[in-house]
Parts: sequence; C-alpha cells; structure tokens
Amino acid sequence: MEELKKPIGWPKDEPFPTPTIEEVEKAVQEGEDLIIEMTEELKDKVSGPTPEMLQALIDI
Amino acid sequence: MYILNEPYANLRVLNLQNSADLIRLRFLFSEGFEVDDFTKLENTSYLFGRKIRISLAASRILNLLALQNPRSLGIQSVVIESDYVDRDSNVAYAQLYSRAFKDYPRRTIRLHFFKKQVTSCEELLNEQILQESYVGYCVMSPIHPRTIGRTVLPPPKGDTAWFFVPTQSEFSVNLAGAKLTTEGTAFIQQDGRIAACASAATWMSTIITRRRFGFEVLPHSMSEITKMATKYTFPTIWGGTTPGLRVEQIIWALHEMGYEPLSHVVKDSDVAHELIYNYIESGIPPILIIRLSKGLHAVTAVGHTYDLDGRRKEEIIKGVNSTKIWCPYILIHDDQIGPYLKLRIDPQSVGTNKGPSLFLDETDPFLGDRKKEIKEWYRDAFLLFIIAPLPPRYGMRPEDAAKKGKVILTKAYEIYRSFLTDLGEKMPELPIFRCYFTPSNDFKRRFQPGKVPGLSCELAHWYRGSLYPRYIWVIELCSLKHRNVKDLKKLRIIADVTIDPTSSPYSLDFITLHLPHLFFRMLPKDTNVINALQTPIAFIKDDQPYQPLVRLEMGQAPVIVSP
Repeated sequence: MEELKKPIGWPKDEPFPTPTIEEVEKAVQEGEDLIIEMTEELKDKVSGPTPEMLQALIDI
Repeated sequence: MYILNEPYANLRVLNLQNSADLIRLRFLFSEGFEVDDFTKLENTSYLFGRKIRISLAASRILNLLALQNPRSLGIQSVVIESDYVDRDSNVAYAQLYSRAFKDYPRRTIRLHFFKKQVTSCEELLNEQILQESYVGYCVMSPIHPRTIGRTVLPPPKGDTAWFFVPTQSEFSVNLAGAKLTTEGTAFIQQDGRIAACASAATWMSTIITRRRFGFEVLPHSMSEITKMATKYTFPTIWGGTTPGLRVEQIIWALHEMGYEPLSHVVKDSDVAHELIYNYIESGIPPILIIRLSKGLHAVTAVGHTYDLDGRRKEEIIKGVNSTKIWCPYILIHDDQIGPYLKLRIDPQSVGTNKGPSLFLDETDPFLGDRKKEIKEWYRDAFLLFIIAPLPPRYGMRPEDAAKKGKVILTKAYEIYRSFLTDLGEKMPELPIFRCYFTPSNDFKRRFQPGKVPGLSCELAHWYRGSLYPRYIWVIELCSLKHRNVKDLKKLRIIADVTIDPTSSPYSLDFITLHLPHLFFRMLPKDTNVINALQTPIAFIKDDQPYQPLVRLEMGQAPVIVSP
C-alpha cells in the first residue's frame, strides 16, 4: 500500500496504508465481472414478462 | 346499542360485550344488509334468529376485531356513522350505479373501532380520549350484495412471531368534528362489476405507496384504476361481464397513475421471497399475481412475520444470505379472503414448471370457522408475477441493487483486508445482507447517535452531511452473531452501502460506503469509482456495530402465553 491522501480522522504523523491503484483496479474489474456472472445465474430464476404472460387475464 | 342524543342523528354505538350488539355488527357486515336497512338495526325481532350470509373477507375482519381472542385487535365498541360519503363509492356510483335501473344508494356506512367503551356523546367532544382508543375504520359499500369498502386496520398480534408491516401509514378521519388518526394498511373488496381483484390489489398497493412516499400523484379509486387500465384496449376485452384486467393493463394503470411499474416473472422460490421481502422492507406493497385452481388472482403483500429463533449456517446459505430467512411468512391482503393473511413461499412442486408454491398458514387463529373454505381457495396456489409501483424514473430493480451492493461491500472488504485485520475486523464468514429502497431523507434522519444504539456520533455526521438523490437503495451487512439475537433491539449491522437508483446496475459506483472504521463517498461530480475506493474520506476510530433500521413501532409483538 502506498501513502496518498489521508482520510480525515487518521493520525497526522502516521502514514495511511492506501491500497495501490492496481489493487483497486483489479478488485473493481473482478467486481464488475462478478455482477455479470450473478446476472447470468439469475436469468433462469427471474425475468421480465413475456408477451403471452402480459395477456394473462386476472379476473377472480 | 346506544342511540346518541338528537344532535348526532347519524351516529349509533355498539358495545361488543353485549351479545345483541355482536349480532348487529354481524348484520352490518352481512352481504344482505342494505344501507337503507339502517333502522332495522333497532328492530331486534327482525334481527334475531335471522340467517345472514357473510363474505369470507367480512368474516375475517370480524375475527380480527373479536374481543375474545387475545391476539385480536380487541375492539370494545363500534361507532356506526351513517350517510357517509366515501370517495371510492362515489366515483363508482357516478361511473356506473347512477345509470343503473335499480335505485342504488349513494351514501355509505362507516364503522369506527375503539378499544374502549364509548358510552356517551360527551366523549365525542374529547378528541384526546377518543384518539387513545381509536383503532381503525371500515366503510361498507352501498351496493347490493354488500362489499367491504375502504378499511384501515393495524395488523393483529402473532402467536410466536412478530408481525411487521413496514408498508403501513397514517390515515386520518373526522368523526363528529374529532380528528382521529390510525396507523395501518388499507384494504378493499372488489364489487365484481366495476372492479375485480386486479383493480382492488392495485388500489391497495398504490393507496399505501402514495402515502408512504408522499408521491405527488392523486389517489385513485378502484373504478378509476379499471378505467386507466383499459384506456388503451378494445372495450370488448372485458368480455361484457367481467372487469378483470390483464397483466399488461395493470402495468398500464400504474404507468398512467405516475408510477414506475417494475414486474418480475419468478421461477425460484428464494428469489421470489427475496424480491417480495425487498419491496415490503422498502414500504412498497407489491401486487402478486397468483394461480388458484379457479384461475388467476391478484393480492397485495403488505408485511411479513419475524421469527426470533436462531438460524443455522445451511439455512442462511440456502436463503441467499438474506435477512429474509428470519421472515418465514408474508402478510397479504386478499380482497376475497380478507386482510393480513399469512402465506409461505416454497419451491415449486417437483416435475412442474409452474411458479413457487404458496401455502396458507393453517394455524392462523383468524381463519375462524371459514378455515375449510379458505384452505380450498389456496389449494395448489402458486406465484406467477410480482408487480411493484416505484416512483417514476427510479427503475433499478431490487435484484440489481442487491447484486451491486453485495459486490461493492465484498470488494471493498477485499481491498482493505490487511488494514481491517490490523484493527481486528474482517468480512463475516457468513455475510448476511438486507436490501431496501427508501427516501434518502428518511435514511439520513435515523442517524441520531443518542437514539440508535452503537452508532458513532462521527459516523452520524458523515451520513447526515452526505449528498443523496431523493430516493436510494440501501444494502446493509451483518454477521450471524448480530442477527441471531432474541431481542430485536440487539440487532446490529457492521457495514452498508447506498446506491443511486438511476445508476448502472453493472458498475461499482456508490453514494456512500461504510466499512468498519472507514467512510467513503462519491459526490455527484465523482465518476471514478477507483479513486473513490482508494481514498476513504474519513477514519472513524470509535466505530462499532450499530442498530439497523428496526421499525418496532410498526410491528406487533407476539403474545407470550405462559406455559
């Protein structure tokens, strides 16, 4: 970790262990990939209505 | 029955400890009662021994009011207000009944429920005393056969579980000049002519959502909903006999009313339960389209139960790491069966390609002597669609908000793993999440250090000082230790993230992010999530787990029966 801008409240005389930009970039990229993966997994479990379903009559 | 003094010509009082008044109340709820029959209430020889037919919905309301059941609302007296002009009934009258050959009355009867006896007209002058025991009201529609009009009641008490109704709101009425308020949800029954279950479920959902969020949209009656829903379809679509609606028409009606209708076709019971739970926790009652043996039906989910029994690791993993697993039943309003029914969502039957199965809680004490009919009604029931009215332009779906929030929290913990380890913090082995949509001002308002146990004063300032859009999605994180508690006041969360509902569901941007001892935020002009995650804005030394949003004032504690 490298020292960049310190968060407010962090002791002035101590370096804040800021993560490197590469570490954050990697985590963000993995996170975005994970969202796509989770979206794929959900596809069989939930979806928007099909045109036929939109025509279903609710009348009880 | 008390007949109040002459100045109060349209008021009568029923004392429910009196068996004759109980018969009168049942007569008022009967399908055969006509508003013009009001004078017959005084005629005991006409009433006693008379066979009356009561709808399932009316029967359930009577059971919820019943004095004998310790879990009921414990109503002691009912003030009957005749000649009441109800907006919903009036619009239906103008649209259809005023043009009918039969002479339908225009005015309705409204019943006011009190936990204490109202014994004289003097009490009507004391607003404070009336308010202390005021429970709710019910309008009896003027048409024949009788249906239940606008009804507002709080939930009853559970036997072992809490009843939580985050969708409830404050409703006010005027009774002989006294302004009374009640907290509850609204229920209504279809008349079968100008509105069917779909319009009734849409009415119950939107009348609550509008109040809960203060949307700048007018309240709409059931007949107005039916009219808006069918505006863009051929008039013959009704088939000449039924005012039933198609799913598409419900969505049109919500759009016309100014909402952003989100709809979900669900196949998986856990996902369905999670979505319904997310909406309920957001204070938005979703409309559920269900398949019954008789056909398609619409109901409105308004709350859930909360079970204090501890949950095991396997149950949490199966339940998609959500707090919903402590909420085994959803509470629904079914216009045909009544308010606050308990339904469980289970996996669909093996070998079928239907939707998640729905099971009625048969131990519900308010099913009364109509249990068999209600069981039959829900036999082989399963869930098909969920439709929820969100504010316009806030179309992020709960499943997208939940995914995004979980990933942001997980990745932020990874980035700061060594830093957090040095402080004795780490991502829980079994992370548990809760996701809800809320007005940001409500979210900020609850950060009050003196009132929220565990909340650091500094953290409260960071939340209060942050900029948010009007509505946000919130995803909270807690550990099993902080959720498996016997006292709801001891629930704690350790981290949370807020998400802009207009943002992309595929990016990791956030508005505020709180990890133990670290606070991050992205201002409206910040577009670089990497920078935002790399530079926490604040280090909060005294940060500790704090109480999540727990709406104890909106819940009904279980009745503790001594062994």
